[in-house]
Amino acid sequence: MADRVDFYFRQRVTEAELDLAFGLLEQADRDLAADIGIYGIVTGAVPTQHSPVPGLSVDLTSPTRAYDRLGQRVFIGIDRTVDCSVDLVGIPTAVASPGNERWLAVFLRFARQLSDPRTDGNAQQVYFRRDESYELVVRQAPEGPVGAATRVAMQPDELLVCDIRLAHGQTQLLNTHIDLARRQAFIFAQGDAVAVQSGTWTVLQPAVNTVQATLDDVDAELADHFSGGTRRHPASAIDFAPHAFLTAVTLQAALVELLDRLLSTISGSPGAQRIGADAAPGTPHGLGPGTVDSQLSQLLAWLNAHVGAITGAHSASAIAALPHQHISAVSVQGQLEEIVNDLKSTNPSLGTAQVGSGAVGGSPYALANGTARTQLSSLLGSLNAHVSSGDHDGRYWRRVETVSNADMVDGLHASTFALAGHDHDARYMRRVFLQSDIYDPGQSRVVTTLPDRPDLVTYSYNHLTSGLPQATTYIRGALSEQIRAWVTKVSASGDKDYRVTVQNQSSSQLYINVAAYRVGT
Amino acid sequence: MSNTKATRLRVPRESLSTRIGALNLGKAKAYADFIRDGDPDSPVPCWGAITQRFVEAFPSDEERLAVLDQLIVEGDRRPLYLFIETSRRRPRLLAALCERVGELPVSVQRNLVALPEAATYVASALEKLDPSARRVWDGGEELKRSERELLAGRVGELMAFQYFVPDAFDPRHEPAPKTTAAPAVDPGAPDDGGTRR
Repeated sequence: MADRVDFYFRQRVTEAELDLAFGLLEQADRDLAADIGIYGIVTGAVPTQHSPVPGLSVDLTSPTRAYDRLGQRVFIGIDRTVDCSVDLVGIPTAVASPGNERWLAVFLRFARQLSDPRTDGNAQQVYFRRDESYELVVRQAPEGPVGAATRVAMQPDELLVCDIRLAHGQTQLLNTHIDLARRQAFIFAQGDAVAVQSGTWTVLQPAVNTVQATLDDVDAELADHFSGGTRRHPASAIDFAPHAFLTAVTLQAALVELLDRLLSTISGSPGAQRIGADAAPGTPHGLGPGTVDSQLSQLLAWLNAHVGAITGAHSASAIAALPHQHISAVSVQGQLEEIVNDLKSTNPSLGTAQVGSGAVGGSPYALANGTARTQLSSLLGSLNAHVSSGDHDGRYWRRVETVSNADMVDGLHASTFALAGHDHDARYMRRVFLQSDIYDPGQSRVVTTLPDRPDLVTYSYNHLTSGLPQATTYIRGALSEQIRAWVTKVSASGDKDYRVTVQNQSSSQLYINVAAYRVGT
Repeated sequence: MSNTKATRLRVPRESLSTRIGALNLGKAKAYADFIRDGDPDSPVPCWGAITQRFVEAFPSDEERLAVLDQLIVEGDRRPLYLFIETSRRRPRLLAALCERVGELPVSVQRNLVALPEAATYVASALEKLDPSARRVWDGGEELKRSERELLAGRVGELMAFQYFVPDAFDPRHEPAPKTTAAPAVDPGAPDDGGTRR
């Protein structure tokens, strides 16, 4: 109800008294709203980026209805566009410094719309209508570093529509820049002003029996539930639809059944049989899709075959090996090849230089520990020293020495008797002529003329077959008596030559071989 | 006559024919076959026929030089004696022999340095000579003549037999001479008393 005034009979009513009556009624209306806590934006005034082209302004939807904290009603019948480039006193809102930002706030506040002007008794112009109206107010907070700028403080007699964040150099306000977190939406009544009956509740136990306390309790219960601190569901209270090999109908039972199946070691139905596995391509072996059990079985079979293989298990090139010493290859194959190549190498630092050899005792020379190369070098040095030093003792004859008269035979040096190199002197007879030819029966022939008289002339013969001498040469045969040979001294320019003549006195054609020998030069 | 392999003379037929047959000469293969087996239906050749066929088959110096390489490698003195004998009128071959004289057997060297036809080439190869051959070179004409006589004798021996011809009868049963000797056709032949008839 409202405070009242009681006009009386023949009262002369003044302007102030009439205004008071309306003011009391209006105040009663506002007190009602204020008493039960009604305030905020009921509908409308939803901010969006300016359409069609965004700029430094925002659009508000209509119709807008709201009540401020004094219970004053605010109504806007049409869509409005709010210019945010300046604040309510005309100061630009642009951010001056790079790296800074600024929060703007759009407020809605109650106002009156004056109209219907008239002239009163004092000849003053007054407005007879004072309708409810509104004002849209843009306020700006100080700019600050991005993320640390402060927001515009809430205004007690205004309603916050939205906050807007403006960056340095920004020329457009988009929906992403509009923040409704602090928007003062309509509140019908305070929760702690509404009572509840909690006597039959089993879970909720509000501190006081108000809606606010009850909602606080619900929130606490849900918070505990959602965070999992307390108030968790038992798994047995969660339904489960049977699936695959699981037949249980609660989560608890399903988990138990799942674990039992997975932990099973029963032959033919092991846990690994319940776990799928996709294909695993590979060379030389590849696994097809199946279960962990089937793939483990396959892997075990391959592994056993590999470990038990006598040959061909691994290529040596597929076995890793750590580089060591001077061997740098990283596979067994590579290292073996490198070792063989090094051993075959004629590089002084490889080959025998890489073969160790223990000490070899001896006197006067001995070989110290080292490599085959160092020991060979030592041997070569000793041998060269030995050769050049002539250090054989007296038991040995030197190369340039002759042992006693070992090179003499009957007082003559061995070279005197060399097979190919010596020359017989005049004491030896030597052949000075040899000729073979066919002689017809009765034919005689001068076979040669020698400058010196031969001391011996020999002849032999072969029988002929088809004009060719047979294999046997007769030194003294049946026809030897019928072959004659003689030497005739002939004169040749004052010197004497000796003509050798042979005659075949047989009646057979013979192949006669004649040779002449002489003693002396 | 038979061409049986069992009757071959002691001639290095296999090795010599193989070496010569490997030469890149058109006639080498046929000559190698001849050394090894002779002509078809003919007796087995001896050095005489082998030498005669060599002279006929390889008329050019280039061909004979190719054969010489193989003879030196073979190392047998007999074909080298014959090669020298058949090269005495071929200066290029004598020059080649002297250039490689150090690779020849000593007896062949001695024969070669004794040849007056080779003297020019021997003079430029003295450092290669065996001391024995050098002794012949330094020994004067008489010593060289002796070597030439030796060479002639050796060549005569080798050339005496052209082919191997088996005996027509057992030598132990050589037919007796006919009672009537052939009439002497040499009027200058002495009679049995050594006087002219």
